[in-house]
Amino acid sequence: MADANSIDTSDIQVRRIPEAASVGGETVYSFEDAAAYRSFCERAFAKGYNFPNCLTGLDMGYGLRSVLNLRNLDDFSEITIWMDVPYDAPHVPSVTDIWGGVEWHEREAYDLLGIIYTGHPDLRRILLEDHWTIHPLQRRYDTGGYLIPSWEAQAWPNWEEMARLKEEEAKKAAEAAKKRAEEAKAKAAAAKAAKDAEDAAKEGDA
Amino acid sequence: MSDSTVLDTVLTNPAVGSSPTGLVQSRSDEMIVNLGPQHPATHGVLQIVLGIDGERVTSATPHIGFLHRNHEKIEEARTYEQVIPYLDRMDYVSGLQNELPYILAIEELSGIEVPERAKYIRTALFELNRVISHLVWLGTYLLDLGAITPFLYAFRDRELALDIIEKTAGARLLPNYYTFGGVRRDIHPLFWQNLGEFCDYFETVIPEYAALTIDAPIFQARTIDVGFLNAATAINHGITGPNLRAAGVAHDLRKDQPYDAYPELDFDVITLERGDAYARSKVRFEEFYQSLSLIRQCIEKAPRSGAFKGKGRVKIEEYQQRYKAVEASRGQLGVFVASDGGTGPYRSKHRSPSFTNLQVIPDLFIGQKFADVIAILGSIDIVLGEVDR
Repeated sequence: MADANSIDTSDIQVRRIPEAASVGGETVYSFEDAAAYRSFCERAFAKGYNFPNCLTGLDMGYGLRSVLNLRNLDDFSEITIWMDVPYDAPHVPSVTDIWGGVEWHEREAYDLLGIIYTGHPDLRRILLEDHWTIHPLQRRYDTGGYLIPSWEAQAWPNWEEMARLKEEEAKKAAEAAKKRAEEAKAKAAAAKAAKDAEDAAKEGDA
Repeated sequence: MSDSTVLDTVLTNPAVGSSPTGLVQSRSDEMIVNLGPQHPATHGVLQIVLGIDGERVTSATPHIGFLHRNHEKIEEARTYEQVIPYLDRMDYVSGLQNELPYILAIEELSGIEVPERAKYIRTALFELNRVISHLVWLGTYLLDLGAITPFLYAFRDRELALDIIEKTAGARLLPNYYTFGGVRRDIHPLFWQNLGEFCDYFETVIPEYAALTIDAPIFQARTIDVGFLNAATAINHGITGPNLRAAGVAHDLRKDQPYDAYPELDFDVITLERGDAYARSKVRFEEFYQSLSLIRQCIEKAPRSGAFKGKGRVKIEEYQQRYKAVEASRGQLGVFVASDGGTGPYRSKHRSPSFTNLQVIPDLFIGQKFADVIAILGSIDIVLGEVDR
């Protein structure tokens, strides 16, 4: 039986996140040093964490974080390993040679977040086109106003907006009706003038 | 040029070797064959660039991303409730299953209780979706192998199951039915009865399917000893679902990390040792019986009255995050949710089983015959909507 607490971390710099921060009971190990992260991953594998659940990343606002979730297939315990990197040097050591299953997950995190996994055998974009220049899951990515956070959007149905639109529509319809009436009036006047002229011409002939 | 010089030229050519029997055996140059993205057997839009030497596959490079929508970016700008309809669209074959890991994660993070009756409704529909998903796999896999009739039978019976989901949730494929604390609206009065009738009917047609598929000699000839995947490779590559269980690893999250009503239900985890395409098919086939048994147990044990939705609202503290996974029909379907204390997920990552299972295909293809490529690809059971997200 593997126990996350039995992984020897005496000689590497690691921060254990208190249980309160991670609901669900899995232990979180946080790293900022690449060599320590890599060394800890090797030890975790040796302790029986042989199944790669998930590798992903997130933009923390002050830098990027690579999140690796591992499972032990003997007792189904899980551990989470964080690696924090700054924006200007987002280098995280690749663990593809330990768990082959994270290969595409690392490529995805590189593609969407821009974390560079050093030592990865084939670090290319996986979901986006190769010529894409930006990593869209970074918070500074400009969506061009398309993605509006919905908690700032208005409630639906928005009665005020609907009433305003209805009023505008009624106004437009009234204007159009007025314009039509004026046009009809002008047309009738023109027809009358033409008829008068015709009558006058007839009288002249007579 | 005399004959002897021609023979000398041939024998000194590095592309031509001699076999142990003394006969001259020629090796052709490697040929590049492009499979997809418009190939019908890729079940979506998948491109695989294959290197072929004669009849053997020497290299395989998959290219994905043709269906990419970036759900994860869209979800950053939605509230927790508004995310759920997007999840249906990941694996559009079994839409309801996609909703569950996300909902379980949010329920755990914000401490929402689920009533007993809602748990059974969810579990019964989850297993019904597994039947639907395996039926689609069965039909399309046989279609890939050249048999058209099983596809029509499979889709006929799939409709009967989809009718139950439509009657309950209002939509066939994208139901948007599970919600935090239970299900969105109450089941219709004949729900359990209809489920029972479906199980009784479907049990009678499974032997019919077996005769057409796994017991048929042509199917066996196409799939036995093709596309081996051993247990060590499967675990190291994060393979889950029937693909892992066909390699002899009895890992099933319904047993190992039970959720919803699974702790009270009794079923077997189907495992086979061989790990070839036939074993993977056989595991899915046996899971039909297990799913029917699970649905029947739900019908028997589910409370007939009570709430269908628990009380409680979603409120997640800052810096909370959770990885939660369930056993969907294709394997481990997980979600990683991180919160910043706002009204929506700060970050959500969907760990889809097809995405992780697909990355093992170079290992499965290399060394196999070119004609078996489609038989191996179909046996992994991928849905590209889930791969590209």
